[in-house]
Amino acid sequence: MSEAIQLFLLTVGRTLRLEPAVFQDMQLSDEGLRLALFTILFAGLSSQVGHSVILIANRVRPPRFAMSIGVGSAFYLFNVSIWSLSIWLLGRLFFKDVTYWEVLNVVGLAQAPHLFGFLVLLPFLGVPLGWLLSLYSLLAMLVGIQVVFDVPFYLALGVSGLGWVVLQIFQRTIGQPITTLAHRVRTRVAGLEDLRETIDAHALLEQAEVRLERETGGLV
Amino acid sequence: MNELLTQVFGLIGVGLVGFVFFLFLAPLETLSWWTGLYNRRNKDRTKLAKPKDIVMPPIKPAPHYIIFLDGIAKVARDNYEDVQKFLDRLEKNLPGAVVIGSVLPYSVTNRPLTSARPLARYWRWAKARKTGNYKDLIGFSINIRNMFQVIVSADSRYGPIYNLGAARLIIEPLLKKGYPIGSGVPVTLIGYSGGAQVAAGAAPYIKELLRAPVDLISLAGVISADPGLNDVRFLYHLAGSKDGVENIGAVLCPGRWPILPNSSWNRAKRAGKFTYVPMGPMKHNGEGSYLDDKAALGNGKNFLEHTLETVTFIIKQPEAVRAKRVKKGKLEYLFDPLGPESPHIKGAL
Repeated sequence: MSEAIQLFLLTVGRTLRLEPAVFQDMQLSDEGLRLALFTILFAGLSSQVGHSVILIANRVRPPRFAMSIGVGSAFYLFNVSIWSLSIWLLGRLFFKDVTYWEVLNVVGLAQAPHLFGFLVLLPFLGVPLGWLLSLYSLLAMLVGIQVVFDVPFYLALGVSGLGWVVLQIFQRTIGQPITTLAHRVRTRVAGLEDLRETIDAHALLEQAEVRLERETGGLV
Repeated sequence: MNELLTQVFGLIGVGLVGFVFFLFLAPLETLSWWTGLYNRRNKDRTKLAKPKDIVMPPIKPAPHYIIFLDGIAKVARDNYEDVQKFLDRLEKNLPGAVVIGSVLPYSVTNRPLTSARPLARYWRWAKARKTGNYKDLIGFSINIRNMFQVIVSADSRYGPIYNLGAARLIIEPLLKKGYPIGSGVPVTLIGYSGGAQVAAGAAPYIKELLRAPVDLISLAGVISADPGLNDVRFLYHLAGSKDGVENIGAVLCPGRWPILPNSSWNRAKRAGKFTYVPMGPMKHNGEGSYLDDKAALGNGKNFLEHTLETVTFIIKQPEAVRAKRVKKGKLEYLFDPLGPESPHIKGAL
């Protein structure tokens, strides 16, 4: 068990140092895919914790809160899989015939920076830190794509850029019902009538008026 | 030499870890209040007074309500000597108006640092040291603790929650002093330093719940591009030339940079809501600050007097201020109470 943890930490460390060899080693190793999946799982959990202020703003109760983090992580895994799928399709089209699992391996491992996603909770610094982590993760993915498709950096950038465009189109067209469904699932799991995805004064006031009323016997 | 470097970097490392750790903890008070966790544990402490306690035998409403939110040195509801002197004299300058200085803007659960807290004893000690010497390091830990709360107020996610809590603390004394909801009687928030950020954040709630026009006098305020600025009617930013702190918000908050023309700050600025008021060679705090009655301007007036006169003039004659301001400077408009036009201030008093 401890060996597995050691291997995991070592792999994450190498990914964070953006070592191209780590992606090569993982392609050859039996453990590769499992390590990638663990990275996605923990990165997903961590970044869901990082974005949990929205759950707190919606006053989600503790057990529901934990469930929401779990479901959020599952969505994270789904997103990474779809993102890998679009890169895999484009890569096969333009470069080289590799298996889907090889691409998932790379994209999964590249989620390593999001293991620090919980830091997004930090006031003021958290949001820009989240952007930096995404950029870091993107860089790791580019290194991995270079390795798996055996292409230079600019082509790796091109294919992931195109993959991103494909993903955006997917989300806005056939993905739309999925997004709506995801929101509905999140709302359901949180145990709310409507999960507000943004926090602003006017939205809070709607929630708070009830509360002020209860606490002060009707402030307004 | 090498050892020294290691020690220096070690210290920086420890400082950084400490900073991140305390930054992490900073929103906890807000979140436990908002989720109700805090109320369940401390049933009586945080409840606001019920309206039956608030609405006392009808008080004649005042023509103007002024709330002072002190800077990050504030620990409890009572004020430091210089602040209290300022408030007492402001009250004298504005007969009939209600001036409230008892709000502690850095605790949404409405608890002074010096009581009903695990570290209350420490904060009492720190306050005692600060009162003796405002440069004291232990005393300064109060400022750091409260600065973290200002950061929470300025955060785009925690801020709306924190500022709602702060708004409740402001609304309660207003109602107790007979503020007539929906009457349109102006509420002026005076925010000193970090207090101005909390004031800007609380503005939309005060405006909405009391249906009141809200103006903000920022006394060397450190303000982010808070969305609450949209709900402020006018903002007057008073700043001394020797103040190295008031500009922090402009430097650290991307929403205040010109590259984001659609930020709430830049929109409010374009709408002409802001007036910059240069205060002469005043410092941010301590000796030589806005509330110092020992340091004097060239015309013989001491700093406290000048600050008082300027604030009084803005509150009494906002139209005159806006008529006399010129299109100039970093806030779009400038009103110079020390310029050749200054005699009109005397006339106002």
